[in-house]
Amino acid sequence: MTAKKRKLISPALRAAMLWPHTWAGVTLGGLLMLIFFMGSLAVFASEIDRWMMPATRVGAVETGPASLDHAVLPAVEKLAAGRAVRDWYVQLPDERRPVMALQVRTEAGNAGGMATSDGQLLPPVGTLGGTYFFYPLHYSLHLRAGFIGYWIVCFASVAMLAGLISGVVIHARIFKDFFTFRSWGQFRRSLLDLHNLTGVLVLPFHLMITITGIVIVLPIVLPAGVQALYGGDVRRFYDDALRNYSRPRSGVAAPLAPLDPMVAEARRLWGGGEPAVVFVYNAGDAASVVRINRALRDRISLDVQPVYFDGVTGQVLKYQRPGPVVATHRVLSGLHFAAFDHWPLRWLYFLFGLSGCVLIGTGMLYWMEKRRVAHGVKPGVGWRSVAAIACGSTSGMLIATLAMMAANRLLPAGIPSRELVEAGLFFLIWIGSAVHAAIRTRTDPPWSEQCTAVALLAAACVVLNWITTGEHPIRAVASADWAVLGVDAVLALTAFAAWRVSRRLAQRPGPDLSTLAKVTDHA
Amino acid sequence: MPDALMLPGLFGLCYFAFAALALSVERHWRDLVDSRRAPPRRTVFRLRLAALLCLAAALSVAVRHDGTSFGLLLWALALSAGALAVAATVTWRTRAARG
Repeated sequence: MTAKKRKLISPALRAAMLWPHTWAGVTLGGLLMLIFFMGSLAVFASEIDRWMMPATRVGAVETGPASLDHAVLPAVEKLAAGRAVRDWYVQLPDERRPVMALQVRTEAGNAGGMATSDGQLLPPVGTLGGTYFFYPLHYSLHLRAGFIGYWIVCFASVAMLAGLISGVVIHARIFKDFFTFRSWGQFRRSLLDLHNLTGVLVLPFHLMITITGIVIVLPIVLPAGVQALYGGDVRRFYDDALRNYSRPRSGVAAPLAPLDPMVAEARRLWGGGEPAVVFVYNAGDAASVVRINRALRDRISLDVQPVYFDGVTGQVLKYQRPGPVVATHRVLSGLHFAAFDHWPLRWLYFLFGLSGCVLIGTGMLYWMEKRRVAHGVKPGVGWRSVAAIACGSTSGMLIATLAMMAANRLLPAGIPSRELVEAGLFFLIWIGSAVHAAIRTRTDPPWSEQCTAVALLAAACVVLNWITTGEHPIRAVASADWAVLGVDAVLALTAFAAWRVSRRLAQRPGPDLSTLAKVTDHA
Repeated sequence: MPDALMLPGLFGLCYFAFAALALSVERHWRDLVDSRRAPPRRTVFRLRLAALLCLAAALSVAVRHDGTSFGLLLWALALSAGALAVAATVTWRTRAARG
């Protein structure tokens, strides 16, 4: 039986799998780190939003607005400020976002804003926050033109998938080492143990999240079908697949029918469930269309079950469930999005996302430790580049993220394009920390210095939140503001951990070069 | 089962299942139980059976509490969490045993 097992994965196959695994990790590790880290943050995007938008911490709401017609329509009018409204939509309040988010498209530009559930417009939030900065960074790198960011992220995800599978093939003693993490002895062995441990034990999650991530953007990255049937128009393809409805403006003015009966009718069609988003297309036109999406909080599938109404008569125009392929795609996408309300699962997604960062990070560190042999005490340009990328994409990215959150609390509310200043600071500081890593890398990247910076910034974020909003942990507990308390707790934990790490690294002796000579294979 | 006991029960069962599996691995048995000999065959069998029963019980807890779809997902992820916790325990105890 053992002979059979040995044949199943031959040494030649292992060797053939090793070099793509290594190359993919070394070249794309930094990018994958960004994707996994921002994806983990995106799990708690709403909570980060509450932290970064203090005006929206208005306490939990029990249900949606009492009346769309009374609460939402006046807010839309106020946002339009006298210009003729073309289309608008409102995301209704829920447990995690106690305010409404409105977006209005007028004949002269767009306007957006937040409002309380009774329709009071809040001052501009002045930040992109978790939902509009960290989350898009996860899937598009903010490179939307021509879907370039999607392509890059998807390419990296396919490499991740190949890395996961080839990693399992390479792993020689997968069951004997199943629970093994030797934190003592050789540093290199500890790194490999940790790499194998996170890779094997969290493999179900990593495979699921990588595959579903690719599945979501399949129509974009495998465009042949869309090209052949829809002339490359992705929007028309999605409209068809998701059974959407649209019609052009008629040019004849007509008033909007009351929205509340439409919501009641949508509820009846869904057989229970809450409305999440209400769209009004061609507002004030005889051809206006109202679309109501169902909330996703009680299901895995991302099928929002849109119901379309005639905006003038209030009659249902279209309500059609997707076909089996699209329904499957919606379930797979939903597995990735985790839009449901399930706190244990939310935390598991967050922690396992971070375990992906550990997997990628230990992989890069293991490569660096092994390659010291070839490069000796004075490493060459190749090793130093990987070291700088590893440092810039781990501690550097943390510094940039935390600096953006600190800037969010420090920048005055009134400055023009405040949200863009914040985002610009993120990228500038990230570039700065990467340059710092590149300059200061000698026998090792400046881990200790960057960890100190992470600790100080994380602690500063907690203190700044306290000073600028008056919301300290005790008050957050008292007012049951779990979102802010949670973000503060994770920040405090980050500060503590980073401080401990930086102290330990500062006391660590240089790399033990005497053990390097033993390494023979080239991983 | 009361709501408050669901999560501790689920994660506890997963933890015990993987703890039993970890003890059935010769290296950890020698490090943690008996350094002189490998685990007897019968013990290995019993440990694995216990692990299987714990995993099945965990699945039933998760599915009964959260429904089929959420239950399955929660169970699958709780497996990883339990295994990671066992790995941490093994490292901690082995390190302590080594002095």
